[in-house]
Amino acid sequence: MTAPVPPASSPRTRRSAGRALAGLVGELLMIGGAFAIGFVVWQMWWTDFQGERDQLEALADLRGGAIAAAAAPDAVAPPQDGAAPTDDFAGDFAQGDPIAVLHVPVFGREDGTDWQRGVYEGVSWADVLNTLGVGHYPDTQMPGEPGNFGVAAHRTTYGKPFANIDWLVEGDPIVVESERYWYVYEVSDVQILLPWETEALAPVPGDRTWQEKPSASIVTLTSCHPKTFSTHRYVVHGELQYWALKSEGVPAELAGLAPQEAA
Amino acid sequence: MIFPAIWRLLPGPRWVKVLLVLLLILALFAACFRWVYPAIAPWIEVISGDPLFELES
Repeated sequence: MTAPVPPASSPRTRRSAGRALAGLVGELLMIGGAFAIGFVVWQMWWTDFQGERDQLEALADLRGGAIAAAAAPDAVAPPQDGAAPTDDFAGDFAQGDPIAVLHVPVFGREDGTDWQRGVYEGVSWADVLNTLGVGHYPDTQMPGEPGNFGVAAHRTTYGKPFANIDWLVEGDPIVVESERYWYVYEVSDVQILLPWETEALAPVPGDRTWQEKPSASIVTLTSCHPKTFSTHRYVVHGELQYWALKSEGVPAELAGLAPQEAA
Repeated sequence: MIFPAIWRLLPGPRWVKVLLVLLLILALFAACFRWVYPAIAPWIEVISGDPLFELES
């Protein structure tokens, strides 16, 4: 026969029901905790791993298509006179379309490599920054044009292309490469601004009206600051020094650097 | 109770159960990494930090 079942209202049943509920809540808390820790691990570590792989693959695609590497990597391309050509940027660019390749020798200084990433139209997280690398602010100008070539990239997570943006100091070279031309910029100033101080991206940086007519060609690198919390924006401006022809080699600023490790 | 229920549902001797539990945990985290975390990330950017200026457009 079955064991005698205590009546439902007995203290023993009530105590064990309470214990069961506490146990269930404890289990749910443990599951929630593991889920949250997993998220942090995923964002800190996995997105970096996956982002860098995706971005280097995208760059390899770019090298095989729109922007092939310079044919004579051992020759130094001499500076050219006159206004920089901009005919490589004719036409409309849709989000995710490749624009140029960005070289920042300072980012590769630890192992003497030619650090580079593709620059793509738009600054969507999912479609550009996380997967492709560096994004071009659509409201800003193109390389070599009078005005401001404004780009953004992550400083932490998702491959963190601009992780070491704070290494750049006045005088450091920033080189932009299009299908046929080199654009060699030199860092002119570094700023830490608030997220809504968008005049850093105006055709004449610092012009709040955005109406002033630009005479110089500027490149602007933006990323978050401080790392992770990002209450501010880290801004590096560079001014165009000269342009050169890719058919003649690579600019002196990149000569002798080892190729960046491929994907 | 979730954990004891799962333990009871798993077949085989103890070492098989332990192995299955480990596999289950691994599979759950793999699914989170692959689908769940990327889907919820836009709402919880704890660590990434926003690199963008707030341009209107």
